[in-house]
Amino acid sequence: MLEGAREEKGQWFLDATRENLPTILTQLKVKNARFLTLSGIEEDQLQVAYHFELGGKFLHIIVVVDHNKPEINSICKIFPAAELYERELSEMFGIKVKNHPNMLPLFLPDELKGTAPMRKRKQ
Amino acid sequence: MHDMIVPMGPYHPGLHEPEYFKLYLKGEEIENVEIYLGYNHRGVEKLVEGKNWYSALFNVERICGICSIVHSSAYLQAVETLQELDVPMRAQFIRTILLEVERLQSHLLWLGIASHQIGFETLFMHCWTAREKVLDVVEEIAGNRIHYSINTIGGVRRDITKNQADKVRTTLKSLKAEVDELAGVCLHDPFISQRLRGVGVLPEKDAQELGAVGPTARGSGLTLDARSSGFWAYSSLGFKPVCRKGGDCWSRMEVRLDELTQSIGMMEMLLDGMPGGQINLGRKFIKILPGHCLGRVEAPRGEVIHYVVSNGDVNPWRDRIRTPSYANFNCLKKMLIGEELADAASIITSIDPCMSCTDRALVVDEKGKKEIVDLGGVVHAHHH
Repeated sequence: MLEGAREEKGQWFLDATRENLPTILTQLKVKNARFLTLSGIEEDQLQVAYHFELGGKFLHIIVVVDHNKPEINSICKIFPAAELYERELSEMFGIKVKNHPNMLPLFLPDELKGTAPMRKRKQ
Repeated sequence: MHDMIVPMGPYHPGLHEPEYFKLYLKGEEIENVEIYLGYNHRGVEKLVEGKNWYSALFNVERICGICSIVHSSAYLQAVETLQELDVPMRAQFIRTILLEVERLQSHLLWLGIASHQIGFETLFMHCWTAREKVLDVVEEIAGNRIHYSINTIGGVRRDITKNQADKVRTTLKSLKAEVDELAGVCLHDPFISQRLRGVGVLPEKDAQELGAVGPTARGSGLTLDARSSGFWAYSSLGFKPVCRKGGDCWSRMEVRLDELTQSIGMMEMLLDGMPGGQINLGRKFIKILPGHCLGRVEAPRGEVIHYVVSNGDVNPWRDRIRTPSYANFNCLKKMLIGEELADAASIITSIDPCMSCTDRALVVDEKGKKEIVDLGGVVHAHHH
């Protein structure tokens, strides 16, 4: 398991930043980790969680994204499987994914483009 | 440079779910593909955020008709881990039996559709007749044919009585004979062999890089199967995934045929080895402990993942759903380019796409309320 990861209920979590994410991902690639998916989550902060399977255990890498300037770098160079998920993240959460090979909307119909529907609304 | 663009979908006799493929052709050969999804987009991820944990369970089960129990199972794996529940062994066995039943009916459905794609209508009809037997088994155990609605937080809602188990065993025996006959036809018919061998090849390296799962990955030589982790009753079965190296439509078909026989065998073992005891924990869980957790189960199409985030309240805060068809879509472009137009429908069917699963994502719908969102703009969300 990676350095700095903490265990909760049998699954591993690691906090990362936009800057050190490529290094962590390269380490995971070398260790033959399998990329599962990525999710956008909005709790107190806007986060992107990358989910991996490493040695039979689940590892979740959580990157906090700036609320005011939601941007993240694409991980498609290291894990090409992330392509469709990053497209979905970008249209559903309004997070800009830089250097994506094919950034197009994926699921949303034309009238909902740009609305970032998965963000929490204040009631 | 392409000669013409052929639109395939969203409504097309060659596809059994709505999806739009823009095929760039040079003569008969596919040069490039653009894939557009979202036609079955219903807003499940957003929808469950407003429901309580039990309503969310039923919503999540209805993401797809053919993989319904896998969604509720993966969701419950995550929720039960968060709440640190010990699900009774008998409930785990019943859930495993139903997961295997679902695999049976899904693979038989797929076999029918795949034969239909290449024009073998008789085989299509026979596969779906065999599938009716499986649906009878489901109705016997769960009371419903399609959405089993048998899972609850902490166990299952209905038990399998001795009578039911005996009826299921008898059905499985006759089903085994039918499956063997169908497999025999598929594997020895020269026509099917010609249409499927060497078509839609996905090399092992690409399957790994692009994140293929399920029979799509196992047909290309990867031994990926969520059941290998031994969750629930799988640890008592000595399970080994079925694998083929060819990477073409034929290999994927072989994997599914073998899995049919494997599932029947597993169900018989599970029915014989079922422990006694309770079927659930006997109480309702209104709030779930806070945390993040991932639940994973093997659907007929591959691994299904539910990443559930709870903040200790009565509603799920977030349920991220990654379905196997969603993962396999990445591989389609690689499989289609260089193939002929006539094989396109066959190749797409060979990954067993389930659009209801892929599109499940979300909708912005506050009932009766207009809403202003500001993220770089002011947009009025739709309401009905």
